[in-house]
Amino acid sequence: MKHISQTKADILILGSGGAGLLAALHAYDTDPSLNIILAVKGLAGKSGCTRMVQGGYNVVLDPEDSHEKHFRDTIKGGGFINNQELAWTLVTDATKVIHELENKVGCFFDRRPDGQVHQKAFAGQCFDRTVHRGDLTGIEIIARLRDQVFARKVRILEECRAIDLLVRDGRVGGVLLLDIRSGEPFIVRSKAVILATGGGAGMYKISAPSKEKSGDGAAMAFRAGALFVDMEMMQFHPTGLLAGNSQLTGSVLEEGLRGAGGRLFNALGERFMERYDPERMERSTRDQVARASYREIMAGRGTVNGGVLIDVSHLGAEFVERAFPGMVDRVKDIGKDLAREPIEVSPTGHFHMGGVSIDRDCRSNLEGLFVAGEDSGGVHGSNRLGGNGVAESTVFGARAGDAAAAYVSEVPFPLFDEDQAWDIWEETQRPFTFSQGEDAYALNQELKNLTWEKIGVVRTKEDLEQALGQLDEMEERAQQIKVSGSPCFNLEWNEALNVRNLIAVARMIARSALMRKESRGSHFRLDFPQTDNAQWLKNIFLKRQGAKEIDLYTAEVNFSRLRPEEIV
Amino acid sequence: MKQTMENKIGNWNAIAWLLQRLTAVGLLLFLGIHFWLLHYRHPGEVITYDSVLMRLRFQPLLLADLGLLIFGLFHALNGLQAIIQDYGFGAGGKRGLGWILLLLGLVMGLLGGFALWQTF
Amino acid sequence: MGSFLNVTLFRYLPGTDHSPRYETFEVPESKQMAILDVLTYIQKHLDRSLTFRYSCRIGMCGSCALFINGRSRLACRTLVDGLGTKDIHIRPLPNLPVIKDLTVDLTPFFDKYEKIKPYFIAKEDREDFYRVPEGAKERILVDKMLECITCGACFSSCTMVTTNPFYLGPAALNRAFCLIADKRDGAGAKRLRLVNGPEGVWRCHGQFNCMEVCPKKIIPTWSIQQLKKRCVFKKWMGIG
Repeated sequence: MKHISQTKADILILGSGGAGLLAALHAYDTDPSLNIILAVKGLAGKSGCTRMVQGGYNVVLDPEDSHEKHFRDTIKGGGFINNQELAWTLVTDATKVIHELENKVGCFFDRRPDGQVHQKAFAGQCFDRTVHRGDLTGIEIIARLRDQVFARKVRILEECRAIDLLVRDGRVGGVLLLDIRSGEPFIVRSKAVILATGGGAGMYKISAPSKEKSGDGAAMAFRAGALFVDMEMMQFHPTGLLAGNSQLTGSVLEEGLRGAGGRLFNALGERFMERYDPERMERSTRDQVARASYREIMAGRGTVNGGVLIDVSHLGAEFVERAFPGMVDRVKDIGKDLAREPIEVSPTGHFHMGGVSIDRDCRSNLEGLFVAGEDSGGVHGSNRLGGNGVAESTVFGARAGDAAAAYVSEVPFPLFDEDQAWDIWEETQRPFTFSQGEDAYALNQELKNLTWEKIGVVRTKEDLEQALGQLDEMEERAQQIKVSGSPCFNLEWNEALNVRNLIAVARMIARSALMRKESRGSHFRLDFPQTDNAQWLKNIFLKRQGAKEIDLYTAEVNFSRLRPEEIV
Repeated sequence: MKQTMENKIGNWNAIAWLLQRLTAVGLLLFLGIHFWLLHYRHPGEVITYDSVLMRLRFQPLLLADLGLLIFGLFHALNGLQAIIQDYGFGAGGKRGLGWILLLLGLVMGLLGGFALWQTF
Repeated sequence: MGSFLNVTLFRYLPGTDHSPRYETFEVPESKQMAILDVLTYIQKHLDRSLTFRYSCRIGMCGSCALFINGRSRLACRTLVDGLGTKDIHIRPLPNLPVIKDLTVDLTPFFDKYEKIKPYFIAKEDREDFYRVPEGAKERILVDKMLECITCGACFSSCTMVTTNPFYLGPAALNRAFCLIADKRDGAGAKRLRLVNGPEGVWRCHGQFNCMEVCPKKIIPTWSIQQLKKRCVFKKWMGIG
């Protein structure tokens, strides 16, 4: 049996987004003697979606605002099935973390004329509390966080993707990784693993996330036996750019456009939001707006390219160019002027509210596994408010770093199963052994179409059941993907591994969606279009059973702080 | 791996940069005077040893030539140093090049200055 | 659209290829096609062994910087239309070692970036935010230069970087300036010393190559000039 090279760490962090980077800083600052490794699938601080955040960071700063108000907005936005302790932690810690981001990490957020930090309006909130830097808040946060990692002894491994968690007796003892550049495997044995790889919204035909996001964290956690929650809750951002075959398609035009007063029109020139949410119109929550757009498009009132139109020109071209310079610039690439004409947009796969079930310190049901950011579930319930995402990743990234650092000081080095690692590696390499087989890209495209049609914005029992059948079949076919060429920096091989993980996540989504016989937040069932508070104020938990079966159960939501009746 | 680039002389990099620009301006003046005196004041004039001696007896013009010598030497040798450094020499606080050129400049300056002074 | 692009790519597989080679592909042109779209087309449909980098595809991450038709650009934000020709020539970024095909090792770039202490070091422990009036002169000075996405385009276009292996380069110096000019940062003097040397600001001779290629329209030459001023007059400017 060939030997896979190994290295040791106290803490291994997977992912370099808001969660991963802040976890690294916090873990190191808690104990600088710790041996911390941060492995990232792409380039450190450049991959993932935190960097792509345009809008901003929801946080309570103003004395007129309050944590209770932010909490309320989050619970209401989440359809009342948020984990209330996690949501409370989010809103309270956010205030602490945003100060840390400016005063210690060095971010500089936009100011009001009087010199205080500016907070802009974002949909679904009762108070303007979204802190930002222009319309490129994510770059500011990630770039400054990445710079801070230079100041600390943290080993960064770039273009190294995690293949699987190595679990023994319910304890995560390390991770098997692939060095993408060389095509060689290696194992990191670590006392704690912080999973912060981001979700699988990229599975959809039209999607927003960056290229490397393929639900690796969720798929690995599933295979390792982690407990998941709210997997049916997938958010579609209502205004993804439509740009034909260009890679730009699916990229987000930020929520601030709607927050500032942008209007949505269908192909007939109607402001269709009047029919779906006459009170809040375009400033309604993402799930409402996305669904409204989707239904307009499906009803045949969409544009020629299958979208709707967003128009901010009435706000004044100068204002638009000043407030949203990044977007105006990007839209120019498709030959359009955001400041002066309506732009074609479509709902786009964006963010997965569901994920590994965690406690306030990011602990999962697996010993040694901490999960932070989009990989975890429960904070946002059935729908995430714009601006709460980067807040979540930084708040819980920090907590995971603190918790993992405390944890590793008390535990011995775990054992791991070298045979298990070798088996996984053999399977990972199998695509090279076939002389013919499935095509990774074709399979991915099939998956994109399947998920868009059947486990997308609007779902039905028939669609979900069909999807499950097809996904099972695709999973078999994914084992038969053929890859050729050198294993060095092989993009096709990575696509094959991505597809495998996306299929695993899609299965979880479909199963949960089938179980939830109602509509709530981002989950909409055409056959059960009403929200059923009598029966469904519950969360759906799921876990692997046997080789790859899914075991589900429901649990009543614990209204530890706020009951639905208290929110009018 | 940090590299501090300060040396014992202090802020010599910055001073040298500043002086390069000051000498450039100065050279405009001194070269201008030199060319005018030699070629444009009396166009077609044949330059003889005696005529140069006569010119240099006049203090201000001697000083102008001295200025040309000193400014020119500094500007050229400092410029040469910069070009050599552009190719990676003198990195990591290695001052050798600077000292060599300084020495060269001092020697040439003394020789030239001595020659000029002798005429006076 | 009916027309085709002639795309020539630099190819190199370490350990197998004795030396790099160029390969030409014919790619059907589509509307508003960006170079990134060209590359993904080639990789998916014509040659699966091609390797290149990208991530966000909207000009925010800097992963896709390549040398396209004679200059460094972001593949995702470079439109084929804008190149004005159907002949496209793509090479990896200059001044950096090649890993495979169009990917380069950014270690030299980031090693130099790291040297100038690119991280904020707070001048004082604060609980509240700094009050900075909107449009304050001190922020305007620095705000544009802060938008660097460390794509490496400037570094790869600077001839001083090419000739001098120790030169910190435009991106690192630009970052140093941003921090030195940031009133909230307390390590300005230390950083100024770090850049005040033959591998630092003094290697810049004002070519402006960096400005010409920066996708965020940053002018590192200007930042470096500000640093030079501060180096000369540091005692008078209070940062010595």
